[in-house]
Amino acid sequence: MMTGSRRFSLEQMHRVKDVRLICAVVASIILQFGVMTVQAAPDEADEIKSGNEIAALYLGSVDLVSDRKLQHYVNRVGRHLANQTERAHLPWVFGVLDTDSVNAFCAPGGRVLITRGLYQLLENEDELAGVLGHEIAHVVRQHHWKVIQKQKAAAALISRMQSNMKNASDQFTQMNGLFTDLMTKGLDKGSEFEADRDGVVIAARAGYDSSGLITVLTKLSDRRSEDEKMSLLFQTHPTPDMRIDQLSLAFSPELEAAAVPAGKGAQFMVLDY
Amino acid sequence: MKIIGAFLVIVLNMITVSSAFAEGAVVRSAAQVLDQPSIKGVELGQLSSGQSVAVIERKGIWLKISEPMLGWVKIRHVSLGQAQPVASTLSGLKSGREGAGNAVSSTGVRGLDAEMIKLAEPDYGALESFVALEFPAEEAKKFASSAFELRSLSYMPAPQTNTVDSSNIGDIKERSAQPRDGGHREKRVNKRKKVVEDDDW
Repeated sequence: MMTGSRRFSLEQMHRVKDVRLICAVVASIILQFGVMTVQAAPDEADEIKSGNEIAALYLGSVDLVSDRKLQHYVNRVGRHLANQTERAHLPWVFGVLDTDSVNAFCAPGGRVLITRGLYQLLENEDELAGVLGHEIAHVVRQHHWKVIQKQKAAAALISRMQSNMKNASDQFTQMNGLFTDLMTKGLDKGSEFEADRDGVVIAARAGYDSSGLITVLTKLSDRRSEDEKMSLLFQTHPTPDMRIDQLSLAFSPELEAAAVPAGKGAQFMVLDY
Repeated sequence: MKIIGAFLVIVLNMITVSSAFAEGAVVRSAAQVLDQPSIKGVELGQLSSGQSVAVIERKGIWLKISEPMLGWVKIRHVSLGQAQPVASTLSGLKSGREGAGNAVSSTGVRGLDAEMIKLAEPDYGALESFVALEFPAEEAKKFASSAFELRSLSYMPAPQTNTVDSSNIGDIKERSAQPRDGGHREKRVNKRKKVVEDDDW
């Protein structure tokens, strides 16, 4: 009886050890996941906050077009595109800026702006999807946010070294300078080419013509020599021909098969002003 | 009547071609010339690498060429970056393009330029109105379900090419080396390499 009972208790002990081990593994996974979740939320909140600051600077330069129907339409198309990405949960907002300049912008956290000048170059929703897809891709890949984080870390180091830079207003000015630098100098070419590639995939996922962006870039290429409305675009992006070149080389057979106009859902809103 | 109609179409086509601005370009890789901008098009001829072509129209992923023959070629086979004027009458087009990269002016600019952004004060009131434009995600899904045919597609890797500005090659390589979709991206790179070797699309 004694031997049997001891053997039983040894088995029990082994089981208890196994259960403890499993519990420890599960607990560590939960803990890690919990920590990741806790860390991700404030990061994303910061990302959205910095995006709002950048959007406020754009809106401090130019007003939105006062056409609610147009803004509503662009938001419906933009939201449909953003829904096809890995960051559909972001609070995506789209707007048309009232300027003749030809350009489109984005800010971290899902803020996307297109100028009236560019919108008026477009002829259908496939082309609009191409433009918005490119901007959405920048946000999904966190291109601007990564640059901001690096710059912020560098700025924090400098301000720790320089005691006179510690007060809040100086830091605020520093951040605004960082944002405007990014807005006027742009990203590296590699990020722009990547946003082109991802953007056409996002547009095609949403049911649009995968060649919409190439068509828009072709229009930009044709216009590039003639007006100053393009200056900021050319200052911040590789040339349209270079972008067409890189994008067409990357096109997969699946994307080529998707180079057909979108169906009945695409009803482009033409501006009569 | 049919013959006369066909003749008129040919004549009109010739007039269009001769009056259109043509853009010189160089064939990057062997390509088929088709009679229409579609993979269903009939082959009219072949182009070989290094050959000069005159581009008269661009349509999505297709280029219409007039020289050395009239037809449509996939844009990926043609390097537009090496464009040369195809005739002396087109030199204006070329010279205009050459200056384009430096098209930064501080005078007479109507619209949003770098100077305006540098001088901008953030407008938080306008930001509030902007953020209020958000379209509900669920509503967009509902609208899309009846209006669009969604596709399941993976992101594309950077093309393996030596036409990229050398200052950016590092960036692109670095990104390609970091799969963000569990290695699927890398698999696609290998698949893409194979496709490039085959060059059958």
